[in-house]
Amino acid sequence: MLKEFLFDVCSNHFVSGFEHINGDILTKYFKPYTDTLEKDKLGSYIFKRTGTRDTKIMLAAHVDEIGLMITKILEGGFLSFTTVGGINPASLVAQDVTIYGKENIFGVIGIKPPHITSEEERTKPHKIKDLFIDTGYTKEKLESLVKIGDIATVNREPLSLQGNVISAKAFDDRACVAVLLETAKELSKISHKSNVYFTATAQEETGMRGATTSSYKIAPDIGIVLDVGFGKTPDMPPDAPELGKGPIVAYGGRMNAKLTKKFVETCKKYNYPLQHEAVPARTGTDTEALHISRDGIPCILLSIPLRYMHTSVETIDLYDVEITGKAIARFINELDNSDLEEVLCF
Amino acid sequence: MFLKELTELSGVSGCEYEVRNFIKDKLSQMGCDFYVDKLGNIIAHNKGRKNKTIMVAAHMDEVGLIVSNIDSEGFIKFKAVGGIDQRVLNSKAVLVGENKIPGVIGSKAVHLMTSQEKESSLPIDKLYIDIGTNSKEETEKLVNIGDYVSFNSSYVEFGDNLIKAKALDDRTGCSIILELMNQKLDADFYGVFTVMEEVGLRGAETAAYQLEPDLGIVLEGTVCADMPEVEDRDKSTLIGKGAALSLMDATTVYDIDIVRSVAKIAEGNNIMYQYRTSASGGNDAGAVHKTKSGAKAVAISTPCRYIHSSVNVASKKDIESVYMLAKQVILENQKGEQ
Repeated sequence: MLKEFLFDVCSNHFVSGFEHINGDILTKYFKPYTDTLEKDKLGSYIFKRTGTRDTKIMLAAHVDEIGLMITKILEGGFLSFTTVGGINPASLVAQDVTIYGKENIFGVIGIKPPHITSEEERTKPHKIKDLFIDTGYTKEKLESLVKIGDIATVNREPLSLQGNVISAKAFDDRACVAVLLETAKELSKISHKSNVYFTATAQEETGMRGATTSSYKIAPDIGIVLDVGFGKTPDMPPDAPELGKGPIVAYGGRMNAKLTKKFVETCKKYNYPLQHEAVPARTGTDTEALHISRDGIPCILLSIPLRYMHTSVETIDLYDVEITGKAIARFINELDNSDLEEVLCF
Repeated sequence: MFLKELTELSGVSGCEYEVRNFIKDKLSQMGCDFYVDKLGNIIAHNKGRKNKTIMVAAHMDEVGLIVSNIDSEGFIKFKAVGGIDQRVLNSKAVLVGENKIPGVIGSKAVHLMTSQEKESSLPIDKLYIDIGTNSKEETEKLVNIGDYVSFNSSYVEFGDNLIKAKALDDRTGCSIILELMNQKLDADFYGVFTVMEEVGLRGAETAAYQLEPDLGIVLEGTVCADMPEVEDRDKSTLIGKGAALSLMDATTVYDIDIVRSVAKIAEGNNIMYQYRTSASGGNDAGAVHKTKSGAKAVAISTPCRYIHSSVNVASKKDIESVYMLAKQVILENQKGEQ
């Protein structure tokens, strides 16, 4: 089910600021396991499982993805664009894209052929201003289909690699929206006391904005933030976290130490594997927003290891998604049976 | 036309069997005479009225990658087969080996790149394919050194009569020759589907030796750089402006009288054509025109944007122009007394 959800949700776009367009897909998958849906005014989706006591636990994973925005329509059916979120221009070369205009329009980002490119030129990466989307239409036709401000994403059919490893665009951070779904499913099997808010936050990639507004709206007692982390590849240090070895627990000032410890203990108790990472300052995740929402929210941060972040071939191991979802359900159960004030007091 | 099927087959230079088997099947179904030579070229014969020996050639092979090593953690290292700009490999889906194991060529996360790393593109020996395995042993069960790797890119029609696919260089030519064979023209010619053009015109060399043509007609997918960032003088060909006639490239100075006669045939039959204005690149004509004591050769090409990447773009109208022109050139050269 997780793979089906991920392939479905990653075959559609949720570019930062445009999350509402395909939001119904989330509702389809979350509705069977949650009681209510609310949205904040920025486009975050908040699915709630109602508990039996007042405690509120917010799970946050951003649903938005990086993308392109059209800035100019040129002669010959070419389009200039800028990026929404951080994109390495090198990852856009020789890709095909969809422009979400009046209709979905196919386009190609190509470069001139090696036959007329010098060896030296090949060593120089392209800048966004050097790249164009080729739509194959005349300028006049294109102007009737595309407006400046329309968005586009790279096309990538999700791929099943060996074992449980899968590759697609936008696993950052829909891998973690899948974690939310797994937790919701697990919690639907056991009774829980806390109110649990499964929040697919908007606009993380442009500055954690949906997490700011959704956490204000929910005003939770505890925040569990989920994002993707850098999975080990040959160009990374040998001790980097690896795919298939469990979520990465973050340690640092933005994460509540006692809460983090309790999560680690829960995982030990139930034999869920974990990896560990020290993050002394900026986390680059929704934790930045939750941590200082209202009068502050005690948070933990868990990351799913992912290779090739912010490309169209983001690669994860489904095992990590599944066990993280299950571990969080166990953790919520443990919190339900603890004195929260004691857990959270300094 | 069989272009969709042809472009979705793998046929990296030296490993053209999928394309060869497909073409052999089609030729058999059409009832054509053909044989496969010692290098793997398909040589088909359309018997008919004959003044001279005409060899119409298109290459079956495409640029791609070959597995060069499997690293200690199971990632696959590779080399380029044919001319590939290292920059087109970033963030791509590929198919590895005969069993088409899916894999991806990733890229270091932009967040982790130093400002220095952002200033230079990664050379091919720093790239690797990830098939989702965790160890060298696991990868070795599925992949061997020497396995060929092709781009995983589907055929899409878009815009005004355009096609995006991999390997339009030169499956457009293969598709056109199949169509010519299917026409059963009363004009004699050999339809030749060559191997290993991208790694040095190897197949065309032996095919031309066997046929000893008076006229070689090479049907290609060729350089088209008519994008906004390229100056007019460097564009080589323009998409949608018809069949491209080569004048000179890195492998051939074309016989100008033959080129002009082909242009005249195009004009006489209202077929859109243009001249290919770049002197770079090359094609099977380079081998054909030097065979034995020499042969006349002409190259009629479909302009392909973003050639030698996973996203070639060509115009269906141009492909039609190349087909029409090739057909007329054959007919004109074989007309008259038998």
